[in-house]
Amino acid sequence: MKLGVVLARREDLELAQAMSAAARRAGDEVRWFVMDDGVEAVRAPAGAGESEGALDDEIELIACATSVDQRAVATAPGVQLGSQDDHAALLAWADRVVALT
Amino acid sequence: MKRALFVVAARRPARVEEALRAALGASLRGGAVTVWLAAARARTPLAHRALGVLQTFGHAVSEGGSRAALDEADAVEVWTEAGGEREAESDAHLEAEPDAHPEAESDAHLEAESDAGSERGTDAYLESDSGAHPEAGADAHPDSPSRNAAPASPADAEAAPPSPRLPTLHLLRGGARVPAALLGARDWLVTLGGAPRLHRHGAPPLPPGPLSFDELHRLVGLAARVVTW
Repeated sequence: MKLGVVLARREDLELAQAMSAAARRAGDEVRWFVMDDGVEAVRAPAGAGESEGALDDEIELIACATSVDQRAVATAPGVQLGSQDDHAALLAWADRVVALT
Repeated sequence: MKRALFVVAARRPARVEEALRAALGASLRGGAVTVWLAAARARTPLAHRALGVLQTFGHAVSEGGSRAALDEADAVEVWTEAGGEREAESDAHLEAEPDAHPEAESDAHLEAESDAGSERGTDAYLESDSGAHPEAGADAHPDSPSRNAAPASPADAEAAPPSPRLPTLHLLRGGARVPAALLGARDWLVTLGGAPRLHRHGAPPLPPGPLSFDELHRLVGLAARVVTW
């Protein structure tokens, strides 16, 4: 199964991670598209004390560049910047979509 | 062609605009988009423009929605508030169909499993599936034998093509409810916030009770679509 996750609320990061980890354990592909408030969840760690391990580097993660620019967010390593076209691509690619919006 | 449904339940203008930007974005690869904009939502100039563009390209925009339209969707995005503002709009999506959400019914389907052996409160949703809940009253522990024997093996979780005949999996974040008119008799309900919890509604393939995320993932694969409220 191909699982697409749309994340637009920072408070849903843990849920997105838990559902994605389960999908990965099942051998499924996972991709995320992150926008609006969700980009706050993929900020680069602010300091040495902040964990960088929160994002699974096996998951393709694209953040909406417009949202990133609007919020002046520096994204975590591994986060690609994209556009709404990537959102559309995710919806077209996925067998199931979990929208945390 | 994929079909995406956007339910705009947020109140803040900026959030409404983001939801509509997402809906426009979802149309960029040729998919069909339907937007349900709850009544009295912000109609900023940007929101108006987005709605106009969607309609110009033949996408559907309406206030409120229908179960039939939900059944046609491959993906559903319910746009609520973000950043801790959910509480203020938690009932926002219910306003789209004010007559379809009697308070008692909405709560009843979530509380049914605490009343093991009784279907009280679920009649509004279940058609005639007496006996269709073999796990009713079963130990809801995630490791119980009945749970392990459930048909939803990882192999089964290979996603079937979305179909109106398959149930919809509704995920309920803190305090959220499914509008009664959008809850099918066979749909599955999982409350989130802490450990996921599967409710009895819809005769799910796993016993009602706490779910691991691996089990939740199986349900995702077995359902036609996932709607997070």
